[in-house]
Order: sequence, then structure tokens, then C-alpha cells
Amino acid sequence: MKKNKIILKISCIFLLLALLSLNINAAGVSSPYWDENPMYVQSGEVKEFSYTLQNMVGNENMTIKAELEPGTTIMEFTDKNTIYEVPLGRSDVIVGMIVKVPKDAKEGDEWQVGVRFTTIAPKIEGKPVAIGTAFSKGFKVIVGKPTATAGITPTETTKLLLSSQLAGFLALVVILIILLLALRYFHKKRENQ
Amino acid sequence: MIKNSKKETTIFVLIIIFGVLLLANLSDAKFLDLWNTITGRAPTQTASLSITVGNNPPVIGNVTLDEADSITLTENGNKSFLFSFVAVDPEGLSNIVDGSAVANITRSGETTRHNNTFVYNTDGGCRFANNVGTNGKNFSCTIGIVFYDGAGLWNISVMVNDSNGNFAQNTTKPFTIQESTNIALDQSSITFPSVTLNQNNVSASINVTITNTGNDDISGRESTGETINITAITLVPSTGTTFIPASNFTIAEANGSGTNLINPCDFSITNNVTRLRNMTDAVGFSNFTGAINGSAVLARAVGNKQVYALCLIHAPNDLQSTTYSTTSSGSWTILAF
Repeated sequence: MKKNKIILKISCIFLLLALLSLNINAAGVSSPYWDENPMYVQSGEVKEFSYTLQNMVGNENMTIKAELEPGTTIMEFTDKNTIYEVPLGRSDVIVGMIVKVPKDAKEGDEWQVGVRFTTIAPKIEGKPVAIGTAFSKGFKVIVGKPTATAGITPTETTKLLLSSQLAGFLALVVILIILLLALRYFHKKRENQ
Repeated sequence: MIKNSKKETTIFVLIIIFGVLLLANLSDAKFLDLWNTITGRAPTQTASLSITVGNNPPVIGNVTLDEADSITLTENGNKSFLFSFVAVDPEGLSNIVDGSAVANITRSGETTRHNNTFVYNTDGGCRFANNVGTNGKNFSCTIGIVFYDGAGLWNISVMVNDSNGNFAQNTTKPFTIQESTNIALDQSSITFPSVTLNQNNVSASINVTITNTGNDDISGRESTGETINITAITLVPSTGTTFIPASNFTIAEANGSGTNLINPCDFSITNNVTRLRNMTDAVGFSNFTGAINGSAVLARAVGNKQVYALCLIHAPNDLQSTTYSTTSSGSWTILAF
């Protein structure tokens, strides 16, 4: 019976796994730009910003590899080494980025850019299925000026031109002019008679 | 002639009446303010509100953030958001009441965060920091913000009183909270019991809980790319040529209910069970990358986690007796967008 049994030693060191099971594999990344909050630029502009890596949950230091998402053409890392150590309890590990907009870019041109951050799981012999985490932060770079966003009121209030106050004022002016013309008409008529 | 004179008199009276109405309309503050309303000014500017009782009210100038805008939140925790403002009173700085400075931050659709002793007496209010000249006082404000407060533009409002009961408010200081994509797994590895050749439907010994510890709603909508994805790698032995392909596994929401009641090994339940197989790949050694069906972990304090179960739906009949793992092939990855 035992001969036929293929023992997949998937769980080879139970004590180790029990300890590992207490681990929380957590990390994250903050970005000043995201899907609903694109970056607006001008042609030829060079703009720097940074992602912020965090490791505030769990019980171990993290190593995170950053890679440009496929199709990212106008954004680069400012660091040569893009593997970042993020010690437990840190929420301020900076990943510097630079966006270089082509000089011949036109108003309305846009690019999708992004970075994938992947935690590098420590290799421990006997781990059957090791699981890590990854985060992709992408956004659009748009040549132009930002449109009005939530929380910002429109610059001009053109609807006031149609307000009842203005309409009433104009009506009074028109009525007065008509009355003055009528008064003048009847006055002249009386003089002619 | 008399008829014409009556008409003229009537018209004259009407002119007087409409003339008075026109003058009344002109003197209406709302009408005169019309010309101040169409400004073409910048979309954000300081607007101060004051109520005068007996003397000059204090004036609140710019609100200054203690850190650069935009603001990063703290993963799975709270953060103290700090800012300050200067209030100036023409009657002198002693006229400004130290304990009266309060503040809140707001954003549409989000819970208002506050430090307002007038409404919440345990808040404490903003703190007097230092005098500014002979007429001004600088106040420092702290407001607690939490990891799931929404990304985007928020607005700061600050208020202060003077000893005469005058009240001043500045309601138009915007700032941005960044989007933080954070997830936590309660496991860093998954175990399976021993299996025999050709054995089907072996559930993993432990499940994985994914918790959203940021403010990015991972809603599960594929249209916006807000899904949780998994990259699964074929399990291989340290020595030998046999393997267990990723396509022999499924992953499923373990705490499904109702119509989403889950048998994690039944990949016909496509709502919540995902077979880790790229349908375009030939059967055999194959990895997988794709969305987990039904995955969604919203950014909030409660209900921000989902439990997933793994299943080995078939152990190949040619396996050598050894340990199969990701050690030599590469770890699996849970990916959040």
C-alpha cells in the first residue's frame, strides 16, 4: 500500500510551517497619481514624483522589486537599483520616478504608465507553495490642463446670466422705455392737435 | 384732449411705479453682487466667513500643511494629519480665544474627520502654538485619518472665536490623499496533505485570507482592472522530471454563501472558482496569470477581507515519490491593481 502511495512531501516541516502560518505577508504602495487622478503635463516637460513603499503589517522585513509595466515608455526610475529593502515598520521608502514628455507631444496626447512592485519571498526549503504579493500602480499621463475635479467649483458662473433677478431687471428697463416712448407719443399727438 | 391728458397721466404714474421698482432692484445687494460673482478667478481661493458682534472679528489667513501635499496614509493604521493657521484680530492677539480653535476635513462620500470640541468635547481642538506679531496667533491642528479614507481631494475647514463672541472661519484649503494599494496575506505558504497517484480534489490544509489594508477599493470589476490576480507557477521537485502543472489547481472564495456556495474544487462554478489554467496553453507544463473570479476586497474598516481555498484537482499518474514545491520554480503571487 505504502509502495503505491506517492508521498508528496508538500508539508515537510510542520513546525516551520506552523510558525510561517503566523506570518502576515503584507506590503503596499502609495501613489500621488492613479486611474482617476492622471498626471497632466506640457510637451517637453520633465516631471519627477515618487511612489512610497510601506511595510507596517506582519513581522518581517520585505524586499520589493520594482519593474516598469509593459508599454511604459515615457517614465523611468531615478534609481539604478530598483530592488528596495522595506524594513518592518517603515512607511516611507521612496521610489523615485521621472516622466519625460516628448517635445513634439500635442495637446490631448496621452500615455499609460505604471510600475509593478513584487515582494520577493524568502526561499525556505520545504515550502510547498510559497505565496508573495505584488502591486501594480498605473495611471495616465495627459498633455493638457486638468479638468475641474470633485471638490473644486467651476471658475465661472454663467448660469447667473439667466437668473430671475437679471431677467426682472431687464424687464423693468424694457417696460420703462416703452412707457417713456408712449408718453412722448401721446404728448406729441396732443401738441399737434 | 382730455382723453390724451388722462393717458399721459396714467403712463406717467406707471413710469413712476416701474422707476421705483427698478431703483429697488438696483439697490438689492444680490443684484449688485452679480458683478462680483462672475470673476474668472482661480478655482480655489481663500474665503473667510465672519460674524461681527460689537467689534471687529478675527480673520483667518492661509492654512499651512505640516507635510508636503499630497498625503500618504499609513497601511492598516491611523495617522495624525497636521496643519496650522494664523488668526489675526484687529483688537489684538489677546482678544483671540485660545481654546476656541477647531477644525475638520471633508470629502464627498467620506466620513468627516474632526478636531472640534464644540461638537465632540473629547476632541481637544486645535492648540495655540505661538503669537504672531501683536495681533495674531498661530494654531496647530491635529486630525486623525485612517487607512481607508478615500483617495482624492479633501477640504480643510478651521474656525476660531474672539472674546467678544465674534466667529471666523476659513473653509477652502484643499489637500490630496494619495491612493494606497495595500494587501495583507495571513499565510506565506500553503500546505497540502500527502496524495496518491491519480487522486482528485485534494483541498489545501490551510486557507489564505486576503485583507485590504489600504484605501484602494479592489472592487472586483474587471472593466476597471480592479481585481485580485494570481500568478501560479508549476510545482517541481528538487530533482526529477515530473511535475504538477498550475492548471491542476483551482482557487476559490472559501467563505461564499447562497448562490456562491463554494466547492473550491468544482471549477464549473465560474462565479467564484478559478481554474489556474491558461486556456490557450497546451496541456502540460503551464503557468497561469489572471484574475481570481469573484475577488473583491473593499477599502473599509470591517468587511475588508476575503478567504481563499486552494484545491489540487488532479495528481498526475506519473509523479515520482518526492516533494513538489515552488522552491525551484518560483513562488506564486497575489497581485492587486
